[in-house]
Amino acid sequence: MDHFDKIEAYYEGTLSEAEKLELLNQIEADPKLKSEFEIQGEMIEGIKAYRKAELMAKLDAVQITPATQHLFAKLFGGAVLATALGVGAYFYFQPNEDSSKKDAEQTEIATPPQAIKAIDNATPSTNTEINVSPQEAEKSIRREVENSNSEKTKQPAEPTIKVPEVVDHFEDSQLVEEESVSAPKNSSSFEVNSRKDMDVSVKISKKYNFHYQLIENKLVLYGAFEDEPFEILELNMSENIRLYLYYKNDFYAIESGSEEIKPLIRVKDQELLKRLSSLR
Amino acid sequence: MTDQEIFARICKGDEQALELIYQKYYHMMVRLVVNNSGTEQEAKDVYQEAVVVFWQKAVSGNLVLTSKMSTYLYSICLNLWRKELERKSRHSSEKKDGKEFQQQEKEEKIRIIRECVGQLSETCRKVLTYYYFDGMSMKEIAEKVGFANTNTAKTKKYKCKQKLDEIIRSVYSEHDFLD
Repeated sequence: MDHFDKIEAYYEGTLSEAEKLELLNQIEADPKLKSEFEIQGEMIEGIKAYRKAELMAKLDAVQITPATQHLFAKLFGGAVLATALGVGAYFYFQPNEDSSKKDAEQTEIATPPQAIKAIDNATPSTNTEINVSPQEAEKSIRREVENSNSEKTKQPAEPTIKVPEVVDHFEDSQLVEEESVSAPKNSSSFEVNSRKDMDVSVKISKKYNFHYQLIENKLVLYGAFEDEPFEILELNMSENIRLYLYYKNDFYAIESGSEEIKPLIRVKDQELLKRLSSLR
Repeated sequence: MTDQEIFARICKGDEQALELIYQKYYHMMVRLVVNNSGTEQEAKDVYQEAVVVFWQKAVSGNLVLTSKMSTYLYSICLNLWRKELERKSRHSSEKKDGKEFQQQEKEEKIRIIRECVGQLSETCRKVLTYYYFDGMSMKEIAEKVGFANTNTAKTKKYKCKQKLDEIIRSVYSEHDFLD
């Protein structure tokens, strides 16, 4: 190891104490070596100084926020944090309107199938009429008939009334075969005539229910007559022509000679009822 | 980023982490000096020196942090400022003697050598400063600078030092320091 290496080792701290002592003695004895030793030391000091200055220059270039801004930033940060905590706590402990709205929205979204189901259960439809009580069904049917009749009132049309076909003059044999127009065999005073030109219509009226009006050849029935079939029987009796309405197992007399709206009165005469029944 | 994370990065030679810690405690350390008869500039100088001392100890692996980083930095600042106050006090009460002159002469030599270091290549500057100031091993220098192995780093260090010696000698002759 030459002197340069020894000096290098000395500054790096790798020499033993004995080697250090030996080198220092040599330096004291040799001015040239002493100068070399000092230059090496100063070189290392210069390298360190360069690095120190380099680092300090880097630190000097670091942007420092003014103390007031620093304090303000701290205070502002604290305030923001406190506000955030406060708001968070508020929404945590308070019932959330948004969430309730969301729940409502979700309920609305979820409702349609349920609502449809509810409507299916509550509203009598064609499929659910079986489950509806008779009274409700009757009301429902009446409403439907009223609606259909009101439409028909607006657009008068041929009523779907099953008018029995009758013949002007028929023999007893025919009466037997066609019960609806047959006359009692033992009654010679009865004659069944067909009023082909008779126009029968049904009207729904709030004022008149289960009434009739006969104007010449036109018979108007007031009431819900379309829920069940009805029949009009015209009997040519010896003295006059009598009309009867058969509806729901009952006969009702229709008097001619007046154009007033009259109530339908059920026939109670048992003999007449027998005759009318036999005619049907 | 926590102080521990910053410290770990500093120990690995991350200079950006050093800037972070410098920024973080700047106002605290400057206040210490200013509140003890120091100026803003003196406070800044002391704090920067303290941070550099902290860096040197941390990178060389000679620092085991047993307290908060701010506490450690505070203690360095306090010591440096006390020394500075002592120096100022001594400077005002004593006359310049031969020893002081020698100190100034040495400081001037170091300033010239520092300039000579600046004339070296970047790689040479890194190798020499990392080795002599940061206290890095040859392995660490090889990794940081990008050498193939430690032998390459050793060779480079030797050559760089020779180059610096040449530059210094040429400068010294110009200034007649060797005479």
